[in-house]
Amino acid sequence: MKSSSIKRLATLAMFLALAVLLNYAENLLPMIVPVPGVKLGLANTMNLIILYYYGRRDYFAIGLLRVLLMAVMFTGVVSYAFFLSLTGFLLSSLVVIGLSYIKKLSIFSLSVASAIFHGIGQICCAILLYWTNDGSSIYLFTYLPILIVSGAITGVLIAYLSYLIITRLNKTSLFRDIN
Amino acid sequence: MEKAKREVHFSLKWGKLDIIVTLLTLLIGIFLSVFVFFMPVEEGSLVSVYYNGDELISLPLRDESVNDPRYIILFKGEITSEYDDEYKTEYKFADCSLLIEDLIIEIDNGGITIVKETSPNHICSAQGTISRPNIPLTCAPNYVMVIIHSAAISDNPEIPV
Repeated sequence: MKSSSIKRLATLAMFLALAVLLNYAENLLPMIVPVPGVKLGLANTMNLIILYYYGRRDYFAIGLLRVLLMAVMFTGVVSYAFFLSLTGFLLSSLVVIGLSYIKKLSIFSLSVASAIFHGIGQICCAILLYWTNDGSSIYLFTYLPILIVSGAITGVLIAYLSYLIITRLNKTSLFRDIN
Repeated sequence: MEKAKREVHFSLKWGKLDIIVTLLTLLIGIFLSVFVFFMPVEEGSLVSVYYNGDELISLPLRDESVNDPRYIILFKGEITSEYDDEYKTEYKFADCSLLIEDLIIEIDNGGITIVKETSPNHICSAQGTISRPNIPLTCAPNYVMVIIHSAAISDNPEIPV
C-alpha cells in the first residue's frame, strides 16, 4: 500500500473517531431548546472537513460509519434512535452532495442545508415509525418550523467552526499533498 | 510527490448567496412558526395517547365531572399501586414493554405534560406542557406520543383499568 493511501486511511479514521466522540459528547450536554431533533450537530464539522479535503465518497462513507458506530456502541441497531439518525443522515448527505456541485455555494450554505434536511429526514422517519391508525403522526410536521429555524442558526455556527478548523489545518503539513 | 486534486471545491467564505440562503431559510421557518404556533385555532378537546403506534386512550381535555389534574400511567410491566399516593388516577396500562421505565402523563388545566419518564437528557419531560391542538408531545425513546385533537372524537375511547 502506498504511503499516501495509508496516510489517507489513518486521517479518515481519525476524523471518524473524532466525529463519534463529538456526537457522544453532544448527547451529554444539556439541551438548550427542549424540542426533539434540535441539536448543534458538532459531528457535522468533521463531515464538512472530510467533504472539503477528501470529496463526496468519503464524506458519505465516514458519515454513514459514524451513524452505524453510534448505534452499535450506544443506541442499538434496532432502535428508533438509529433509524431517525440514519434517515436524517441519508437525506442531508444526499442534499449536500447534490448542492456541492454548485460552485457558488460555500461551506455555510452546505452546512445550513445539511442541518435542515437532517431535521426533515428525521421527521419523515418519525412519522413512519410512529404511524398510527388515525394518521395522527402526520402532526409531527409541526416540528418542522422549529427545525428549520434552528437548522439555519446551527448550520451557520457549525460552518464557521469548520471554516476555522480548515484554515488552521491548511497551515499544517497534514494536507499539504492535497490540492 | 504528485499532489492529489481536491474533488470538491467550495468556498470557505461567507458570500452574498449564503446570506440569501440563510435569510430565506430563516424567513420560511419563522413564517411557518407563526402559522403553526400563533394562528388562532379551535380549542383542543380530546387528548389521545399513543404507544408504539397504537392509540391507548382518548380523554376529554377538560372534564367537568372530575377534578384536574388527571394522570395516565403506562407501566413497563404489571400495574402496581406504587404511584397511587402521588398520582391519583384510574387510567393505567400494563405491559408497555418498550418503555425504558414507567411513564406518567398529566392532564391539567387544558394542558398535557409528561411528568415522569426515563430518557436521555429527559427530552420527554423537558418539552414542558402543550395546550395547543395538533402539536404532538413525543417521547421517542419510550415510543409514546400524546396529542390534543381539536374536535374529532375517538372511535376507541376504551379505558381499561
